[in-house]
Formats: sequence, structure tokens, C-alpha cells
Amino acid sequence: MSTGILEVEDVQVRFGGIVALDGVSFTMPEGKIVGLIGPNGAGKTTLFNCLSRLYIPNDGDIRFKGKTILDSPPHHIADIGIGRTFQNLALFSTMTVLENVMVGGHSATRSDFMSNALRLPWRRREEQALRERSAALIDYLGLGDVAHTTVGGLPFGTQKRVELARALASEPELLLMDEPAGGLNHDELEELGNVIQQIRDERGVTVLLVEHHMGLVMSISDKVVAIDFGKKISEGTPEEVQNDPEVIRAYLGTGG
Amino acid sequence: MTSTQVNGNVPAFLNENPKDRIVVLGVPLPLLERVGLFVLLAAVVVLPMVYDGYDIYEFGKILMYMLAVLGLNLLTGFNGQFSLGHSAFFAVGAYSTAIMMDQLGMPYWTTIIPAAAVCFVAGFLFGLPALRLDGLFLALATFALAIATPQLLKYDGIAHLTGGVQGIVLDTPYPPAWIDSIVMSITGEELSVDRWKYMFTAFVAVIMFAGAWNLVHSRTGRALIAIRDNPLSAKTMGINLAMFKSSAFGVSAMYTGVAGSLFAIMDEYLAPESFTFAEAIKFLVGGVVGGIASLFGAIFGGWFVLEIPNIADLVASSLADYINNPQGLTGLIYGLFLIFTVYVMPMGAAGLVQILVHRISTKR
Ligand SMILES: Nc1ncnc2c1ncn2[C@@H]1O[C@H](COP(=O)(O)OP(=O)(O)OP(=O)(O)O)[C@@H](O)[C@H]1O
Ligand SMILES: [Mg+2]
Repeated sequence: MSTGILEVEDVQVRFGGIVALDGVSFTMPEGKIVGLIGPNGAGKTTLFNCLSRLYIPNDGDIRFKGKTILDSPPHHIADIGIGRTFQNLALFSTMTVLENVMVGGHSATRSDFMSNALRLPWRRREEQALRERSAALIDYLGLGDVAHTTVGGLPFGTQKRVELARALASEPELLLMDEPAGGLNHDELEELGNVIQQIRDERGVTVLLVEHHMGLVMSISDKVVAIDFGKKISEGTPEEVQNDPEVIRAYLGTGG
Repeated sequence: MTSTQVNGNVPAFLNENPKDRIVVLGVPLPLLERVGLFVLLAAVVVLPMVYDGYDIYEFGKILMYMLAVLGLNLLTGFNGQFSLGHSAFFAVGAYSTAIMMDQLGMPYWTTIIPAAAVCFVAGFLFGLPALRLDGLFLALATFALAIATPQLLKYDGIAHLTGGVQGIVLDTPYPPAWIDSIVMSITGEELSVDRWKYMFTAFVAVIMFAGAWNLVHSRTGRALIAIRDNPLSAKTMGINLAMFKSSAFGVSAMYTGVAGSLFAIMDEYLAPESFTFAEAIKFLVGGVVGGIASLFGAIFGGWFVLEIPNIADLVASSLADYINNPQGLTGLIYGLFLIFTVYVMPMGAAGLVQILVHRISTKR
């Protein structure tokens, strides 16, 4: 059998009459970047929501490191090692960049109501370590200038980077990125590509990348999966998928 | 992942919060905040040396209401859960203390911690089903709690504990002998009960305020705010919504409940009429006028809900020369005060302070 860090098997999701995912299967090799493409409404975000257990598939299984995730509650997913960013920003808008990233480290820290109310020494050490680790991530993503700024008013592209920093703060083994390139200009796009590759190479994180920007997906992905109307239509190297007549038809057919 | 470790070289921006560089009228903001906190604490300590009798009793009441409002702020302001029923937890705290004193003969000061525990459990348990309710429905459910409470307290079946409609008269909380003798040796005067009641209330209030401050500025506080800002995203970050939301209810009930305990101790008497829906609304008013997501705002809120009705009363009486039966206008005047306050400070007192600081500040 296939042995990937993530195995998606025959996943089906229905919303009333709509079949958002219709038996999608693929595996993700560890330490690679997998691009997930498909026209608008293909079911990419729905799949992400299954992977973070916000949705439960009507059928099929999702295994992370050989174990099903479907019996874990959503708040365990970060603990298990799956982090994500959201297509439409889902930051904590009244908090600063630093605080947002620190919430990302929630699953990697332990202090509780009692120890925090009493300000016990161990929890102060934990807090300081988290602060420093978050600052390092903020620095890494070039957000130092806005570290103490409330995220609500920041430009879209900056907020996207905050999402990435926040997701990394949970120290994920698998990172799900839903359209990280939204709102970026050409230079920023290239930088993002480098960052994603660095995340793979330096941190050993496996990345599932949903992106409409084909140039980005095809240039950095080790493998690409294409879906359309909830069905997988192609899978392979970027070249193979790019030249797959099914894929070309899906994009031309929907005008995408 | 160890590659994210920083090994001692922390990025400089971490400790360079632009807020720390704000200067207000020539004084750096961090210094100003420290001085402000010191003045506040000093005032709490000095008040009983200056005032006695009804005056100091009123100050104690302000601190008591501050705690009650603080409880609601933690829940509504920081965690985004509504409650129109905090009078119920106020009652649970007050009656816990009263019953422990009255039935078990416990000294008043030993009842605070057990009463706090009872209120936490009560709040936590109420918070569990409340998880399924959002916004307006939660408001309705807590409203139901508020109206049921006085009825329950009057219920015959438990009247042997609660004293039914009559309520319970409690022992006077005399200061411990050692405190009395310390005060005596310093001032040469006996410590009055009114002063001691205030000191006891202030002691509890300051400790609990510090606890709330620590909580809000921690992993727990961030989780509570994250849930308020974006529950779905909070869940994805690994925050256990059910646990945090019901615990927030528990902690909130604990704060308001301890305020209830102090209320019973201070007044040496309690009856169901003190725990009506109107009391819950008072807490909400205090929270909103102070700034619902602010801890220091609760101090203003506590003052407001206690003193504004008195001031409204005074204003009404002063109209006696012009109008027949001006007491009937008290409610109207209170309402005008309230409307004026929320109009001038739409973000509460805490928000107004922030705006003022922003207006008159310069950057270094
Ligand atoms: N919660 C929901 N309830 C009902 N229908 C939904 C829900 N979520 C998604 N859908 C539907 O499922 C289908 C797949 O949506 P999804 O958001 O997964 O697409 P996508 O591939 O992410 O598209 P895009 O590229 O535009 O982000 C769409 O038809 C959408 O309308
Ligand atoms: Mg999508």
C-alpha cells in the first residue's frame, strides 16, 4: 500500500443536493510540496475543511501518519501536527500580529487557568519561550515592523503572511495553505514561492498548497493533484498535470 | 521542530513596542501607567484612614460592584458570551456565604474560598448547555436564570436554609483581634467595623483583580479572546472551545459570586429581593459604561452603578421647589445620565481614556 504522511481515501462530502467532494483519493509523500488545483467550486477548500476536521466526510477516510483523523475532535488536529491557513482571512482581528502568532502556539504550550491566574514561574518561562519563538517566526516572514500592530487594519497580503506565521507556530508536520498568493504582486509571489520551499527544506514540513496561480504551483510543487466538480481528474508531476487534456478541458470549460 | 529556536538572539522588535514610546504631556506612557496604578493602590489603602462610617461603606460597595462587573467583563468582553443572568451567580455567592455562616457557624472570612468554588462549579455547569446557544439565545437563557433566582430563593422547600422571603440576618464581621491590636498600637483607636469591612473587601478585590489581570495577559486570556474574535479559527489553532467557554463561565460566575459573598458580609443581611433581574442589568450597565473588554473599566463601572442612582436621586430632590413629587423623576434622570454616558463614551470609560491619551500624546 501507499505510505504517505497523509492518505486521503475515497472522501465524499455532500451538502444537501450538492456533492462537493465525490470520492477523492490521493497520498502525500512526506517532506514534499503537493499542489492541489481546480477551478472555482471544485471542492479544494472543502477538502481542507475535512483535513482540519471542521467537516466530517460523508464517506471515506483520512489518515495522517497511518492513523485516521476522523475520530479526533477539531481542536486536536493542531496537536496531531496539521496546521493550516485560510482562504478568506481568519485572523483574530483585535489582536496584534505577535498575539496572533502566539495563539498559533497554543497547541504547543500547556499553561491553564490556575497557573496563569497565579502567574506561576514555569508558566512565565513557557510564555517567554513562546514569545521568543513567535518573534523568530515573525522575523522570518518579514513582519517585524508590524509585530505590535493590531492585525485588523493590515493589508491583505500582510495578513496572509501573519496567517502563515501563525500556522507555523504550532510546529506542524503538515501545512495546508489555502490560496496564500491572494493579493500579492509579482515580487511578493516569487518571495512566497521561496518561503514555501524553505519551509519544506529547512523545517521538513510537508505542504499541501491550494493555489489558482499556476505559475507558482507548477514551479514549486513536487506533485500536483487536480480536481474538478469534486472528482480527481489528474495526478502526477507538474508537467504531467499541466499537459493532461482533462485538466486543460476543466479550466477552459469553466472559463478559468 | 527545533529550527525555529532562536538561541538567545531575540529579534529586537520583540521588546520595542511602539506603545512604550508614547509620551503623554511629557511623561512616557509606561511610567504614567505605573504611577496611575500606584495612585490607585495607594487610594485603596488610604481611604479607610480618611473615611469612616457610611462613606467607607460606600467605597467598599464600589469595590464589591467592581468585582461583580469584572466577572461579567471576563465573560462578555473577553470571551464574547452574553449574560443577563449574573444576578443568579451573585445570589449563589451571597447565599453560600450566608448559609455557611448561619447553618455551619463558619467565620465570615472562611466562607470566601468555598463560596468561590461553589460559584465556579455553578457557572461551569451552566456554561456547558450554554455552549449550544449563541448570542441572543444565550441572552434569553441567562435571562430565564435571572428571573427564576428570586423565586427559587423564596421556595418553601429550602426555606430552612435560605430563610425564605425573610432572608437571613448574619453576624457582624468583626476584625480579628490581632488586626485590631495592630491598628490600636499604630493609631491608638479601635478599628471600626465599617472600616474593617472595607479593608476586607479591598483585600479580596485587589487579589482577585490581580488574578484577572494575569489571566487575561496569558495563554488562557489569548484563547478566550481568540474564541470571541473567530471561533472557527480558534478551534483550528487547537483551542478546546467547550472547555474554555464553560471555564470562562465558571470563572466569571466565581468573580460575580465572590462579590455576592462580600455583599452578604458587608450588609450582614440578605433577602431574595436583592437578587432580581435588575441586579443583572446593573452589572451589564457597569460593564458597558466602563468598557466591556477592560479590567480597569470595571472600577468605573462599579462606581457608576452604585453612585449614579444616588446622584440622580439628589438631582431629583433638588427639583422639589419647581415640581411636585420630584422623586418620580429619579428613573428618568438616571436614564438621561446613562444615555449621556454612552453617547460621550461609546467605548466605555476605558475607551475614552485611550482616545484621550491618543489625542494628547506625542511619539518619542
Ligand atoms: N458549508 C457549505 N454548505 C453548502 N455548500 C458548500 C459549503 N461549503 C462548500 N460548499 C459548496 O461546495 C462546493 C465546493 O466549494 P469549495 O469552497 O470547496 O471550492 P473551492 O475549490 O475551494 O473553490 P475556490 O477556488 O473558489 O475557493 C461549492 O459548490 C460550494 O458552493
Ligand atoms: Mg476555496
